[in-house]
Amino acid sequence: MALYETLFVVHPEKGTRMKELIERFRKVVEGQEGTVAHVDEWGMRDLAYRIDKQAKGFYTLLQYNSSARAVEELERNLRLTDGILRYLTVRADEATQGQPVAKHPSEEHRAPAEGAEAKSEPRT
Amino acid sequence: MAQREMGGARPYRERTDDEKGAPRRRPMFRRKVCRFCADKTLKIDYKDIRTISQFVTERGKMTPSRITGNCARHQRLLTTAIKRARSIALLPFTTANS
Repeated sequence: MALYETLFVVHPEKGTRMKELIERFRKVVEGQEGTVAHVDEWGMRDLAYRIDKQAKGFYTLLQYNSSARAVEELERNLRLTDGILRYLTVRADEATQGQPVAKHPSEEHRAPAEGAEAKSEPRT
Repeated sequence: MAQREMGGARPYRERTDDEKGAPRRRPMFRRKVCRFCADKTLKIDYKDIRTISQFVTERGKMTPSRITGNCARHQRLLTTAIKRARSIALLPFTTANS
C-alpha cells in the first residue's frame, strides 16, 4: 500500500460529466481495495499547449491509498474513457510528505514566498 | 619604443599597473544560495507551478542552476517536477507555436 496521486485532464466539453467521471474512478480504486484520501477539483484551466485542439481542460487530482494494482486498473480506465486528455500518476508519499492536500496552483490565495521576489508567471 | 612599433603582437609586459588585470576576470561575485535549502518549507511539487515557473524562462526552458544558484539535489528535483508539469500541460514545452 502506498499513497498515490493521479492528476487527469478532461476535455472541456465533457465538463458536465465531471462528477460522474470522478465517481467512476473512485469506484475503480475502491474496487481494488484502495481508499480515496482526497479529491481535488481544480476546475477549468488553461492548458500550456493545445491537446486535441483544445486550449482548456478540467483538472482533477485524486489521492488514494492503494496497491500498485489499483494504479494499473485506474490508468487502464483512464485510457479507455474518452475525453481524458492527459493523466499523470505519481507516488505521493515520499515527495509530498506531511502535506497530502495539494496546493491549488490556479489560485492566487497562496501567500507569496517570503523573501522571494515577486515574479509573474510567464503566460504563453 | 622601437621594439613596440616593430612588433605586431601586444606587448603584455609593457602594460602599466592599473591596466593590468582590468580586462581579466574579476574575483567579484556573490555567493548564490539554493532557495530550497534556505527555506525548508518551500517544497518542489510539479503541481505548484507558481514556484516552479520561477525557474523557467519565458520560452519555457529550464534555468540552469548556474544562474539560479540551486544546489544539485534541488535542481534535480526541480527537473523532474518541470518535466511532470509539462507532460500534463501545466507548463509549456515551448512557446514557439502556442
